[in-house]
Amino acid sequence: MKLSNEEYKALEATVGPEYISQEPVIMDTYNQVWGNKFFFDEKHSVRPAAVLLPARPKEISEAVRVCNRYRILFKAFSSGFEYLSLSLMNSKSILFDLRRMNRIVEIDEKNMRAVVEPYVSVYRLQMEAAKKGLFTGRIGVGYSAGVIAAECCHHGCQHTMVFTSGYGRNVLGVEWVLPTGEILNVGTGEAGSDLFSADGPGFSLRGVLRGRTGANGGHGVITKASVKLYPWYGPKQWDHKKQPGEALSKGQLESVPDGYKVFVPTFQNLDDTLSASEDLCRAEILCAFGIAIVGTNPYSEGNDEDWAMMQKTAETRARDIDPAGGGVSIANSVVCVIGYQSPGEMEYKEKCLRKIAEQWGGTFYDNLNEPRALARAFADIMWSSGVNLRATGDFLPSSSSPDGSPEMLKRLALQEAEIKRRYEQAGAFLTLGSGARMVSWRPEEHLSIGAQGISTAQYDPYDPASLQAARKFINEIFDPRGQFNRYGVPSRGGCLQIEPVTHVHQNWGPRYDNYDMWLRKIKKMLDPNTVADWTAYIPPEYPDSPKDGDYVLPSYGKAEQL
Amino acid sequence: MAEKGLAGIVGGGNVLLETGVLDGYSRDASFLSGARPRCVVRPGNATEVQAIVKWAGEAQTPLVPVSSGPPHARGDTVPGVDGAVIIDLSRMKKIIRIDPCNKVAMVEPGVTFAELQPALAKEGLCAYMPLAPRAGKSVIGSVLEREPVTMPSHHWDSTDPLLCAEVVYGTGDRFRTGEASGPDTVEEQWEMGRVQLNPFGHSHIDFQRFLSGAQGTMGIVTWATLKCCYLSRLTRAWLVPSEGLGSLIDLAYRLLRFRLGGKLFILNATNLACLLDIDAADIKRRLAVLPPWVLFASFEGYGTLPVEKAAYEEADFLRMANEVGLSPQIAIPGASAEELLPLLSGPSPEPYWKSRARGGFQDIFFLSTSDRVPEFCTIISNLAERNRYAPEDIGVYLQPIVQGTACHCEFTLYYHPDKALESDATRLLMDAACEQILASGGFFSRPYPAWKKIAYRRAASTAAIQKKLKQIFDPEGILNPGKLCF
Ligand SMILES: Cc1cc2nc3c(=O)[nH]c(=O)nc-3n(C[C@H](O)[C@H](O)[C@H](O)COP(=O)(O)OP(=O)(O)OC[C@H]3O[C@@H](n4cnc5c(N)ncnc54)[C@H](O)[C@@H]3O)c2cc1C
Repeated sequence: MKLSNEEYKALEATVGPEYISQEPVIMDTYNQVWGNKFFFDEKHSVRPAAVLLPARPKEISEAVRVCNRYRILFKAFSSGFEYLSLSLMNSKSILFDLRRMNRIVEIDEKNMRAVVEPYVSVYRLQMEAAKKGLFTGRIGVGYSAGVIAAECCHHGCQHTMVFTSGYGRNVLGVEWVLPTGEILNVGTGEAGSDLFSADGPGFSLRGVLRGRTGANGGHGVITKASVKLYPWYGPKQWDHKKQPGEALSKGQLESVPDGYKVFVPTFQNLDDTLSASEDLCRAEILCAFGIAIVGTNPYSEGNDEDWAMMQKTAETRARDIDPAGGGVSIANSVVCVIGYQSPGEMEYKEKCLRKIAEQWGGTFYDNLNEPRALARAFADIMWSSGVNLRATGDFLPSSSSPDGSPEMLKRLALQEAEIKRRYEQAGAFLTLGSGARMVSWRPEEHLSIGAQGISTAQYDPYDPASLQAARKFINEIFDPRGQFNRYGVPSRGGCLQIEPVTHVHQNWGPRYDNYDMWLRKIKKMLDPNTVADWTAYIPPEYPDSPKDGDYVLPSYGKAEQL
Repeated sequence: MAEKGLAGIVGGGNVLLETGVLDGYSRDASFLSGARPRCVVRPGNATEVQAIVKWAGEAQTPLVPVSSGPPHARGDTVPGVDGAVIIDLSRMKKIIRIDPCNKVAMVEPGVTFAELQPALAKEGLCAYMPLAPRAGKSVIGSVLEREPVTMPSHHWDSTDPLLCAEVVYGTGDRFRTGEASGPDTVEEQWEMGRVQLNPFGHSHIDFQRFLSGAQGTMGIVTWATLKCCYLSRLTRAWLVPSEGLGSLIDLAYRLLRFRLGGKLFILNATNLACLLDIDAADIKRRLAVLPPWVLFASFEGYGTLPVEKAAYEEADFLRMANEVGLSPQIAIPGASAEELLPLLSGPSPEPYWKSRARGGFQDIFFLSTSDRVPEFCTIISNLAERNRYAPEDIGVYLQPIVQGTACHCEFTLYYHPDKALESDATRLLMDAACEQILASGGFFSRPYPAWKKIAYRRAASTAAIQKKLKQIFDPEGILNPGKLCF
């Protein structure tokens, strides 16, 4: 839908004519993201009516006021890698592309925090923070994910959470353009001090900022955030070898940087792997940890290359991953990274790690523990190369993916794997080895607040059978009448699905203490005119009434066309 | 009439109307005067709490939730309006569950540290302790108030150690935050390995963050799960004396940078003497020999290699101290680490340590970053002189929080409540100090009545959103009216 001349002019006045566009050819570069085929049944999601590139919060605030005046939906994004960032309820919508807001405003070395604008990526902050001996947690998606997107707006969980925490736990300050256009600074920011606390006076508005998942653009635009940093034990700079023009993910480290050590023990069976993992995480010695995500292979350059590699190694992988096959079981290997600031710390942590590994019968196989393999594992787990989509072009991140105790996550993962296996056997999903019992979770804060369960299914969005299977699989897992209804509300990778596609809130809210009722009231309070796109937050009202018993059946496609 | 309705819920014996009791709740040790409650009601379980809240909604009667026993000192439990009912949760004393594997405890609001610590110790755990809380202090009360804990390396988030909670909102709805929500009872959740461990959500909202720092205005918590620590099998404790504060702060930064150590905080001589001695005369004697500032640090041995753990941390600590020109001691003139250590794992022995020097005390606390703390000390000291209050009589407690990203700064003004001049000087100093702290960038994250107006002076937008949230969760405004910005 085109904006009227008056609407366009009003928006243009906020950022200037150079920083707004409604050219269809440009708009179509803003609606192609992985996952589109799954949700919208097309390569393109809804085409925005215009895109604005603001440089300042004030410009966003003014544009948001225009949106309120003309009832135009808006949504912000940073690197735009997440399909939610470009999903819009209807085409009378604008996007804020925040690439001009790209400053690392401050890194406070002593107080271990960084203040950043939305277009600062995690890897850029990691590089800058390292110069001051500090670190921010990585995000699985890869180098370009935005710090603010991860910490404040979307998901923010990863394999360094064991040490760097995640989700919204690192937020120390936020500047936020609310859906009304008002600018809110929380905590010390509003008091005019440095951004070292986002809590108070009184109860904390971080509770509104985000929960287990962010608002995904559903309650305004975060224009600045202060985030807590963690120690970086390595050098101030590192040589990530790559040729000019090559993808960063192609970069290789020659060895694990000084200040860190990496170990990849492999255990005899799943139970020992998980018991050892719990002990390792609770020992408070790890900087990063991954179960069954070994990342020691060389990276492939793209989808086709990755697919070819998968095909080539399918047989050995199946054997390797399956203990019954007699090979090194990658399903039972764990990557452990320790960091140290003194020889004593290194000795203690290594000794402790080896002792726990030994207690659970761990073996350090050479092929997983040779220097180049360890360096690759390090780069992958600390910085993330984001290779998850390579083989098939799309994936279903953790279908239900709740957080909780390792015991609960194990039960859930094994149940889920049974279902997934059916699809793998039917050839709809990429198979990672027959008969493998694989459980993986990402520990948080030395496991003191639990862990996030992860499992992925890789399917091909452009193979109709595979796509149909992926939807069937999600429907099966998201059916609140099904076997997973007691493990927590499912969230496909952190968001709670795109509404009105699957109606997660509607189906699950009543079973989960009516959380959706409070959420909706909060959305209404923040956004009285419903101008912040809610496709990945909560709709102002549920669009459908239950069609199948008390369950609203999911449907796929663009809302305007459904 | 109202009392009859309440007696129907909790039984007549749990509705208190005695004048002495009601007078006791109408004031506390702060300088504030409040209103007299109409009665005190003592529920025994969550169902009763819910019924009371529903009753209060219908009767338009304010409720003031209280979990800790007396004496109260911050004005937050004194009714801000007439006709309120005190909802005293101290009968809800169950330690519902301790899960040693996941290091989590589920407790009701009446449980005190003195009750929780031994139960945890049996399972090889200990609580995240604030500094020597008073004997009657409720664990949940302390956690909800964001009382700082003495183990900053383990303090990841401002809400720690709060995990999940069951809450009755002002609407009368019962809700479970974080992982605890869902179709099952908590017992059914345990059976499937769900141990109310993960604080996030549900979904896009962190509901527990509306309860922490809320002074009972957003909901009444009927149980909460709390993160616990491993019980140390051997502890190496050190005191680092110093004439000045700067080098101690430097040392704390170095330790926290790498999350080293267990307990870590800084006290001035006045506070250290008050903690260690019961008798006012002994406090004076000790003060004469103590160094002006002392950093306490402990290194805890637990886990697979407890001895090695404590040993490497201690060795690194000694090196770091040396680098900043400090020399840690096991004993310093006037104090030893061994003497202090036992006081840090439980509530204060009676009388409460802050009442010992002069009977009365007033706390002022706020957040800053550690590097700015010396400025605040100078500000308060100068103000004290101007207000005829001896600066050396001020107790100082500095507690790095959230892994060193901020510092809780607590100034305690000791005074004899029965001496009018001293009381007046204390009151004047308090008011002046709060103003000056705000002007200098101190942040009153916990706006108790004595400084709430000052705290909210620079939080207009926050207050506006908080009021709207209050409207959602407590539309009739029955929960502790007159507190925060309500
Ligand atoms: C292969 C793959 C792996 C992934 N692995 C992980 C993982 O391990 N952990 C994880 O947490 N996530 C993961 N994700 C999800 C997600 O892509 C990332 O979390 C990441 O944060 C995206 O960063 P971005 O800058 O591209 O965000 P965007 O796509 O730009 O935005 C993400 C969401 O946040 C909103 N948003 C962004 N910026 C703002 C702002 N300034 N104000 C308001 N709203 C804003 C957007 O509207 C959108 O809804 C993965 C995704 C993929 C494709």
